[in-house]
Amino acid sequence: MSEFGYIPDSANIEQSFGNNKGIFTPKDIYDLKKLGKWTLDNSDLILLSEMDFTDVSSLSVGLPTGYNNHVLLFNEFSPIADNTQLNARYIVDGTIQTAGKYSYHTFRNDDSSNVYQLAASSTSAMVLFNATSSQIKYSGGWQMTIQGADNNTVIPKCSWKGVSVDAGGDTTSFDGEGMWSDGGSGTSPTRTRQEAIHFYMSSNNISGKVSVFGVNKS
Amino acid sequence: MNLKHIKSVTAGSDVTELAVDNCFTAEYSHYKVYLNNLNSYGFAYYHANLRDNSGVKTGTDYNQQGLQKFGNTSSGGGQGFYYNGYRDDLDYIAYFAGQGINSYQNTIHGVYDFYMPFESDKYTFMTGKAVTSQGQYQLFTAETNFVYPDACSITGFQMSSSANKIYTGTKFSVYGVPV
Repeated sequence: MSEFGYIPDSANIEQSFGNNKGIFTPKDIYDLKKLGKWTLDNSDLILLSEMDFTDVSSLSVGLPTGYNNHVLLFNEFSPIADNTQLNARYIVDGTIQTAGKYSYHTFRNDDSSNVYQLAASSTSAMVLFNATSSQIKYSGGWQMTIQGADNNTVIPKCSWKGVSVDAGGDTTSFDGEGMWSDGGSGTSPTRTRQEAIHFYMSSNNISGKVSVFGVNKS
Repeated sequence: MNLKHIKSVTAGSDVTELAVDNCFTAEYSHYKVYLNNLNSYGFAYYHANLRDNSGVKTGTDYNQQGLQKFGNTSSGGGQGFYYNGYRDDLDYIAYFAGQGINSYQNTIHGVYDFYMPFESDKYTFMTGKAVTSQGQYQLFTAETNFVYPDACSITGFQMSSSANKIYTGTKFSVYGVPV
């Protein structure tokens, strides 16, 4: 660290992921970035985690406690095969929830055979998009907002939206909304918090990047 | 993307209207709004109006609402998208937070983007999506894209419903999106 660029005797200096306090020179910042410690963030959209994934059959994305709203941004999301379907399930107490409690969700994508689809009853996963052609092989970016995962008194909701392009330049847009039907009686459900969400393709693998944010003070 | 928290408003009791005032300023052109834990029991619509320094904006300038999409899935059938189109006959932002469905516990979450509301020489644009769960037996979704075709300075908004159908704990959080 430079001698004058940082004030080491401050009682309030903190230096950790997402929390850099102090006065830094450009060289300090450069050095800290190389060390993976420079994440000065004065935003109320708090970066909680980042993950690259390559040629995996599934991935689990944590939803850290303390936030009513989580935002997941996927970039360079690339299924390696055509004719496949992206699904999601929640994780509670370390277990992927596979029971048929995802019946109430909708998804839409503009593949000609899948416009405005609604989930069937007793569905064991949320379908985020479902392509029956080559339309999603070269996917682009999409985002999902999950609301209420950290709240034991409400049914959590999520919504998502994205766009992709295939090798020929044709685009596919998709979006949807969902809830997780779990807990107590049907009229006034109770539940435990959802600690993560698990994504998987119906066949073949996926690659990409995902960043998870928490919305502060919401 | 960056977000700066501007204000949060929480219903302290069961109310018919919940106003979020003085949240749009000259500092930002883009705002993100999160609606959490809108609780209700019974059937109710949740519409909205914009506000300015004089109060709520009424009148027929709410006639540019396009690509509204409503989805409704329930057990035992009744699934369908029953509206997908354009509204030009209203004096409020229709289905801003969707609707409560019946006497079961309804909870609603929503996410909204407002563009250029405070800029007096520009129209105000909004996109939003709300999701309702009714107990654990039904899902209702509402997506509204809206333009307020009157160049004026908008400072906030308010949600309205049937008598006292906005229950205690309903919370709006407003963020500026720095560029």
